[in-house]
Amino acid sequence: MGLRIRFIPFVFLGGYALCIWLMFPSFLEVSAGIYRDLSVPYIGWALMGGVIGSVYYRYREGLRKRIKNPINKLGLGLVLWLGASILISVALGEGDLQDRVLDSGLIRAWFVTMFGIFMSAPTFLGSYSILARSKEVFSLAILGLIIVPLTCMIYLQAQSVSVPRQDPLLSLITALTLFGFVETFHWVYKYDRIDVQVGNLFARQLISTILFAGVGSVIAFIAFSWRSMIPDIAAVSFYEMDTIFGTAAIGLALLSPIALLAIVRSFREGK
Amino acid sequence: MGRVSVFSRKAMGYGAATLALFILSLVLSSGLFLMMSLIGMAVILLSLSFIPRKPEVTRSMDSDLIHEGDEVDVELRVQGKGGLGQVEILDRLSPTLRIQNGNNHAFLSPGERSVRYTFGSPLRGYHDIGPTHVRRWDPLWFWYREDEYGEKKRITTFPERTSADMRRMLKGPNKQRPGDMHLRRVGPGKEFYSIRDYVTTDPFHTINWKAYARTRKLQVNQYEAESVTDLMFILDSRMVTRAGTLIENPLERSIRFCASLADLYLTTSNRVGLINYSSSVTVLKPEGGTNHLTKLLHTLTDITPSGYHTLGATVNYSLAYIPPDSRVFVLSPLSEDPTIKEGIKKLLARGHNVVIVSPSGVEFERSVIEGMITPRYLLKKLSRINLIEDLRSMGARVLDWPPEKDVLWAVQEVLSWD
Repeated sequence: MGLRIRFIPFVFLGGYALCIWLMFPSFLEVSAGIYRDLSVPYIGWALMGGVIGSVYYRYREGLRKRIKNPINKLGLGLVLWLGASILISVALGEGDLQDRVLDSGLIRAWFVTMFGIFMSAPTFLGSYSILARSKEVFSLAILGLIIVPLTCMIYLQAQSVSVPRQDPLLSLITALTLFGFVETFHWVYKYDRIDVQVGNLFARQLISTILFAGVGSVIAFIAFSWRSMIPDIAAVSFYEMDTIFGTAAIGLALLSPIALLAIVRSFREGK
Repeated sequence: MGRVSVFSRKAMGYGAATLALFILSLVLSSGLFLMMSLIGMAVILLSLSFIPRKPEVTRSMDSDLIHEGDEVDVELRVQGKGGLGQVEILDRLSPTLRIQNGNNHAFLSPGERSVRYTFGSPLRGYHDIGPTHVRRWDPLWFWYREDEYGEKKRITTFPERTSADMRRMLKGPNKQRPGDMHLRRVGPGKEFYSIRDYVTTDPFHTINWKAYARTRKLQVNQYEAESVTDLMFILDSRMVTRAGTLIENPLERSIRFCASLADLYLTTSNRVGLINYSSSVTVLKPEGGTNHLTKLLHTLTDITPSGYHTLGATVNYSLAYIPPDSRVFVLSPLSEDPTIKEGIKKLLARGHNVVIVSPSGVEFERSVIEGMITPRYLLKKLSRINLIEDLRSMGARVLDWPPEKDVLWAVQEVLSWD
């Protein structure tokens, strides 16, 4: 079972990266802000991160034997590189101090490297956490995977002073791929072990996951599509419906029966 | 223990992420983050709604009284209603018990289920099993409710008894049947043998009044002597007998030897007693029968090495409990005790047949340090060889028992000396 289960989170991780790439075609504008000619799409960074993460996991013991604390040393190296670049630029550059620093090729190279590291870090951490079955690294991966679209949104909103529209269906698929990655990682963590009897639990959890994700998707989709689902009558339509607050309110309203069910069953169980 | 409800780290992570995404979605007007948070909330709430009902759990075991090396089959029956969610069951075992088959920790779907496992006890003593902990999880492992079933149950592990057919090796008078043997001579016994004239030292209850009525002379009954071997073990359980590993050391070897030989002699209607010296001296007087065997085994099970009592002092204290003419087995590694010769001398002077069974503490110590030969080892070994020679020259029989030889070998050696 081990190899088959371990394969699944990789699929969802790759799917999430693909969705982010499709959802933010203006990602290249973000990377252009770092370096004008930097035209690597997000999927490229994500793929690179995933491959490096897998390779690092495979050769980590050998690497640690040769270099003690490689991650710490990498971090230290980057800081020293920045410091050295600034010093060299200030010493050898032309023009004002500010121009010397901003126009420096070394510093720009450093920024491109840092950008590459940040963009590929979530998939690096994600693939490493699947292989190493590490919850701590997994948590960092999730944080990184959320920060990537967050960064794009903030940058684009700041650039254009408007809210870029996100397609509901694509948003739903993206959300489901992230949910799938989280759940399938837990399958690997829970069921890819030989020291505990597990019976038919995996099949039951698979069914429960699909069921609950399905219900959640329906609720989320209805919340976004409410406007198009109801007739345009004043009694049932209101301005806020078209705003994010209205959509959130509709979503919460649709969740309220489920919340009530949870509370009632929790009380009954408590007795 | 009552119910305990705990949210897992997964639930905390989901909750925190969902809340953060919801807030971010409102701040950034992001449909993507709102979708993520709504799906997250729905999943959390739905999963929390489905937790299995509390099941009934019963445990059944083969036996709670076993010997070292024996295995016990355990079956846990879980009876509950079906549904979504998971049931996690853990039957607590003492760390000294070893799982041989199956697992005492299992995840089950709700309903009528059973968990089977087998454990073994490599070490004598009193071990605990239970209570059984049951956790009822929601379908996505966000939270659980924990309940405890039953109390701790005690498992008694007696020392291992070598089960080879050793009775044929028991030499001595050819007994026609097990138990007492009549020797066709006068002695202490229960069967009438003859009558003789009364002398003033005869007990009053032995006067044969019918013979007196016939002859007008006081006469007393005489009885036929019976052969009942008395065996006394003097077991050294001081701290020094722990040299070696937890399972293989001079004390454990001596205890298994004592259990094996005691079993053999008690089941052939002889009487066996035990004197154990450690931080104090305890005496189990010689008796016969299966009840006494059980008592002896419990005493051996309960022994823990401690103290620094000496053999000399032990013999002084317990001579009164050792029946005359009985055979005495001294089970000791013969180390760290300057009074050994004095103690053995006293026993020999009293006419006892003394056999010293000595697991070599020096060799057990060496086996722990991977067979290294150190000057200390050589000195101790030389000292031991000299002591054994001295004891043999005094008239005691000494079995120098190396670690690589098992209990069966030691018993066979000793029985072959009869």
